[in-house]
Amino acid sequence: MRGLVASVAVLMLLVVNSQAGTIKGRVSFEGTAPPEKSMTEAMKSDPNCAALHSSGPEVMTEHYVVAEDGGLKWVFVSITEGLDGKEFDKAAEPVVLDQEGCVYKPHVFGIQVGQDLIVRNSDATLHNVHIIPGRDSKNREMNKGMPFKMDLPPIQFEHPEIPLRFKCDVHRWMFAYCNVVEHPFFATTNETGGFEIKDVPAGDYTLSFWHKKMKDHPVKVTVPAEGEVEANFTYTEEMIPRRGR
Amino acid sequence: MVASEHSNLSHSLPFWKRYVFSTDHKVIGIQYALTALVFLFIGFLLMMYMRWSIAFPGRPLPEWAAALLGSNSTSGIFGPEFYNQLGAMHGTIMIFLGVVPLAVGGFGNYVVPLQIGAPDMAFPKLNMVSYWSFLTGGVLMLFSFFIEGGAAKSGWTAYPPLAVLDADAGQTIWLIGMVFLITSSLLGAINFIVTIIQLRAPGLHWMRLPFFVWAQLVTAFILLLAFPPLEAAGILQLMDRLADTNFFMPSGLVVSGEIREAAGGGSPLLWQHLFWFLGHPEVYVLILPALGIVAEIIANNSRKPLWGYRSMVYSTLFLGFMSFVVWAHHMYLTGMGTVMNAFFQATTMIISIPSVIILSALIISLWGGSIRFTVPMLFAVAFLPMFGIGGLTGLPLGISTADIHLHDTYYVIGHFHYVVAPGVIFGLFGGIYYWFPKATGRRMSTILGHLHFWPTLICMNVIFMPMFIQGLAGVSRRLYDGGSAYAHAQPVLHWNGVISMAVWTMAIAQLPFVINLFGSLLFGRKVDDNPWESTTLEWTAPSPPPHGNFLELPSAYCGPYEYSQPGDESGFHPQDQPVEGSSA
Repeated sequence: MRGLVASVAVLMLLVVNSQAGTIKGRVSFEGTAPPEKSMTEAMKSDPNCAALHSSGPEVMTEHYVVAEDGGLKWVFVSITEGLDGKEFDKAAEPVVLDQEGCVYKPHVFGIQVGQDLIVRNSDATLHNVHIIPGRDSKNREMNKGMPFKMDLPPIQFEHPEIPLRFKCDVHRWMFAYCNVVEHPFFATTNETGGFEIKDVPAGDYTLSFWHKKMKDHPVKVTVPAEGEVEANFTYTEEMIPRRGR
Repeated sequence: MVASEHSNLSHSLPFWKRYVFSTDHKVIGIQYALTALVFLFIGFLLMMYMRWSIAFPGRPLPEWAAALLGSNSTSGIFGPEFYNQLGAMHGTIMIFLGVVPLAVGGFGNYVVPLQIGAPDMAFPKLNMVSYWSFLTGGVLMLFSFFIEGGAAKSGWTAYPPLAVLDADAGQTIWLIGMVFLITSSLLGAINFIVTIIQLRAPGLHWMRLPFFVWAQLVTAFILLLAFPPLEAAGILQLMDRLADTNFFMPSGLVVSGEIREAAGGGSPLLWQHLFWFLGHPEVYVLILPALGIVAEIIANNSRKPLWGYRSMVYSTLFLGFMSFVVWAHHMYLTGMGTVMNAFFQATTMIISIPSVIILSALIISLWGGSIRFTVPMLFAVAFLPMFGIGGLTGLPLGISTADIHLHDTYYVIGHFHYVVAPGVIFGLFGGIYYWFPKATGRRMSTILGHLHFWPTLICMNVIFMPMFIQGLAGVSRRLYDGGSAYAHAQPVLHWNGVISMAVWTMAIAQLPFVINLFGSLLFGRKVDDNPWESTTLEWTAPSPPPHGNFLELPSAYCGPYEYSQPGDESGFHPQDQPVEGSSA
């Protein structure tokens, strides 16, 4: 009997997977990106942080990390429409947000509602993790000091929010953007601007591209029962708001 | 109803009415005392964790100690937020749930009606409500440790804007808990005042009242007049947190780099005024009952009338009055201005005069006495220098120029702990050893009493004396790492380990007391109704006193401390014994 149940389960899984596709794509930037700012200067306000970068390269902001061929890093891509009525299991693997060298790593990331977030301090200096939900958000504000090399107990967010801002009240240059979504279909672009969202059930969706300085932009995609669909998006210099330049 | 009828009534009551929802002042007194002792233990436990963080910042706790903290620690390390919870709740628990309920709710309830020869408090049901309101407040406070975000963490003073901005529910529960505690105190205070005024035995004139009763009477007036502003302030802060009002939240406040919108704009300083209007009189709520207990013990064990009894009474009344006009000496650094500072400096210096009179009278009372160094007397005698150190070290804090340097340093911690810990708590310990035979008909062990007293006395001083050194070096209070991040603290940082070791040693020194308290209930030597050969009326009642207290309600014929009177061979003259030429 057990064998039969297992076989049916495996079969169902295969059927489900066989009806799921992958969204693959690339985000790029056209034009001249504003210059990044140096964080090394600001870090001098805390000798512990300055000491961590005394011999390395200058630490810069990463607002517009554009590859030679125009690929844009740190864009959060997620499905925003088309999944209504569907429920998803919480991801088992925790997301780790590290504070290393007085910088959040990664500073843009996604997480599922209810998924564990482990905030880590790898620096032997005081950081203060201040989670600041938006004005209409139902997520809780949180403010935790991390004076030593340590992990906070796992944190979960109960409501979707893009973005949920993290900042360190001790170090004014430290920001991170946590994007909380209800489902597991999201990705953050890499150095080449590429991203990949796997195991998306076949159907029509709206895909959203979020960048911390430029506006969200929806794109319609149709995911096939098998194989891949490509979804590209290009930001242009004109999309940068004046104060973001 | 006469006393014997009271006694019969108590036997007909079911268990839950006799011992749980009791209206008998003695049962309520014991309920208060035992609950307060549990809270004192919890408050002390929190401090033991804090001392680990201070002495060994960043080092994991031993596994068994970390296990008690649950998810508040990861890998045995707890962060500053939890330290702040421990700090805020240590202060709250020790003051509002430990010392005051023991001193007023416990000793006041148990002893005052007996000492004035009354069968019970004036409003027994109100008395019961007072206890249950206190317990509700206390349980709420403890419960807040287990909710998301944990207990309140904005200090026991709950200063806005911090206390209002704290997004976790712990602070809200703290405020609700305080409303219950304050309500309890107000009900108790009214009861004490009416009882002492109305139910004194025939012949028990004002100047025949034991000093302990005077202390409780003034304490009750202080509670009645000082607590309502804080209750109102607590509700206003609750509104600021829950209803987006801005009584204490200023406009233009920058929080985490951003301007916080506040319609109208309130004043955080208003909270400080309302808080300290209770906060400073509260110090005398802590001190006066302990002074009362110590006075009883000293008179009894030096076998002499209290020296300067009338001066002590008038000083206590003056102290109670003055306690309402010194509050802003906690606020010199808020920029009130030199005129206000000068006023509160003057009143602060003036209030030290009655304190010194009382302390001096107690010291002089020892002079020429046939002193019995019983265990309660050891605590009472130790109280005198400890309280003296606490009081004298408070004087520099009352001067605004000195306070600029000392404010919020470990000097302040040392000062008020000398007043409250080896001061007040020693008085309370003395009271437990002194009145235990009355409450149980048995005596506590003297050997265990010595094993409790001497290590506690030594540890108290090893704990609090170095804090003056650290404070004078500029080490701030409320630092989870004990100041190790600060260059100026480095020369005095080694004291952190010493202090913490003394704290943990003192915890061990309390074991003989716990064993003694509960062991003596079962195995303590049985004693008669007046084992200390005392003069005040409570010792004329059976031990333990029945419901209604006295087999026959007593009358008073003389003052409370008629010891070693010429021609009196017994060496003491109980108040209820007629004196030639005196009337009841």
